[in-house]
Amino acid sequence: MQSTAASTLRTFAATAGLLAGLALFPAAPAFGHGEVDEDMLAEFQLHLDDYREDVEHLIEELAPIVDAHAAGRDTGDAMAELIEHWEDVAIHAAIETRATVTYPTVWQAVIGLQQATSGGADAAAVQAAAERVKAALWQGYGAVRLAASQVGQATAAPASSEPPASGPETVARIIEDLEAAVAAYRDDELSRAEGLIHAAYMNRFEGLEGDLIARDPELVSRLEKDFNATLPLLMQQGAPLARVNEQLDAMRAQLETASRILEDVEQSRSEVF
Amino acid sequence: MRRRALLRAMAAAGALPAVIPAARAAEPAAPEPVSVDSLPTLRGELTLYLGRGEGGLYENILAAIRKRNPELTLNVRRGPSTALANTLAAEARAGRVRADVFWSIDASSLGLVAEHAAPAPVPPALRDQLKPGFRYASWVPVSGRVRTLPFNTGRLAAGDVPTSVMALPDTDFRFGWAPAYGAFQSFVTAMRLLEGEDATGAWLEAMARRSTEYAGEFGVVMAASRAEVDLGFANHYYTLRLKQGKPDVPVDLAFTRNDAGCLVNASGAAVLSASELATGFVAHLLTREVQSYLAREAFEIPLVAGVAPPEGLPPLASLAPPRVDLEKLADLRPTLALLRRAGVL
Repeated sequence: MQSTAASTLRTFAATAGLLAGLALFPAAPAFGHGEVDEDMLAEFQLHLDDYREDVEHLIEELAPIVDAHAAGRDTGDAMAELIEHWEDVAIHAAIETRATVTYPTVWQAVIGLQQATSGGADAAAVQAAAERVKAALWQGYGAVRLAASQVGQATAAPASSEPPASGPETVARIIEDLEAAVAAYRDDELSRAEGLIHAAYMNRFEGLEGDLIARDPELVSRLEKDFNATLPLLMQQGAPLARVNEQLDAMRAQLETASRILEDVEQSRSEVF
Repeated sequence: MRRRALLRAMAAAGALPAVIPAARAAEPAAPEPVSVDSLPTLRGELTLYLGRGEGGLYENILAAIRKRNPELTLNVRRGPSTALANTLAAEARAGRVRADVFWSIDASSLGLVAEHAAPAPVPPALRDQLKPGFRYASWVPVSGRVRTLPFNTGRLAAGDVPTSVMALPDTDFRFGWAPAYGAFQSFVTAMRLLEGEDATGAWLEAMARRSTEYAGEFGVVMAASRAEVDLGFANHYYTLRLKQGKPDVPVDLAFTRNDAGCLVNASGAAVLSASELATGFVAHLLTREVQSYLAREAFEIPLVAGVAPPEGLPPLASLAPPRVDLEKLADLRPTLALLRRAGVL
């Protein structure tokens, strides 16, 4: 299976590399590893219209600042208000917690405008700085929309105050992700199914491997192969649903074994102090 | 601004090495590591930005610190280290840094924070506990991991493995690697910084012809143990964990010298509020107890002098990591471009 698996792994590697790249470049809305907060994402879906209004109101404040600066008037108070409003609006928290990669870009753009106006930049430079604020706000909004659209998927939350799930809890979520992937395959949504499998591996299973390796390295090795080759390959080859479900059952059984090991590991963990 | 000025002055005085030098054979006798019993109790409210990593082990450490310091109110914000570092940079630019401490799983994120968020200088009392070569101006290394070459002991002997990573394409070995892994990409970044883009690109192209890709670095180690490949590229802890469970598995670790093949990367913490409470919190991470816990449970390399390395790993002083500014490992864009050009990603 090596050559076929290698090809599949190459695909996954490319995807992961792209994700790694996106995570580093604030220009692209991307999300890092972590736990999904379904309730919060659903809440964001409900407020997308409010967020759009927040962005529009903030953008409305830009033109007066640009005009006042061009006319040689002081813009200190207007800038302070803009910053205060940006800190107060609901989309601020949404971008901060669900689109973290775009969050600094908004701040950088806002502070860039403040520096341009207070530093006596020419009108064109201030106009350009205002455009950057506008672009950053829409980018943040777009990233929040993207996050909200991924309810039910194993995408990762970038920042949270909640402690991470325990090992057995994480395994339970992996099984749910795989079940959702098979359901997506049944509905002819192949790319979504593959995305769910990949995210379950990268965002959830990877974090469990350390504790499992010492106890049952073969189990980890089999599951790695199943996540990255066996199950996605079956789907790519258009295998009958019954065969895909059979593979899901096999992975579920292995994951239940992993859950029992993790429970045991957590109970036998040594004390810190 | 005062902190920045102080940092500049310290840097000018040469007190702040920005690179990890090759470990010296004759180091002064290590001081005794500090026990948590000798630390003052933490009291007050502290906000920690915590980069996710090491499963729940960092959480266990936080829980233990909370239990030991009941008057500490610890607010924790969790996220990927890079994202939190970007957030801190933005907060600093706006003059509103919300974290007192940033605990990151990688040095490059700490470098970003050091550059953009003006963390407090590391007090000598903390810095002096660290091993030589790991004493930074504005962040405190907590634990390390080293790049290794896991090899199949049935097919190779340790002496067969070149001590230069750049010499590997000249062998007839079959290789295993996981190019999508962040740790592998940091390794290639270090090679790019040390050897240059042309040499790194040529190395990748030559290696790609004889390498099998795996989704993860544990897969690489298992492939070496089964002789699917002769030798692979992986962080040290996968092999140690495997050998903990299966001591007779036919895989062992080789180390190159003074090149990216034995890069030591570090997790660490930066103090952002310059308070006694924040410094006291970081002091807990350097205690003998926490350092030993990370070595015992996560197989991480303790960076406090006098704490034993994880079982199965040579002492850090016997390794020869390269002189690389770890903070520059964040510059992944050219590395990803190189990997794509070489057809590896």
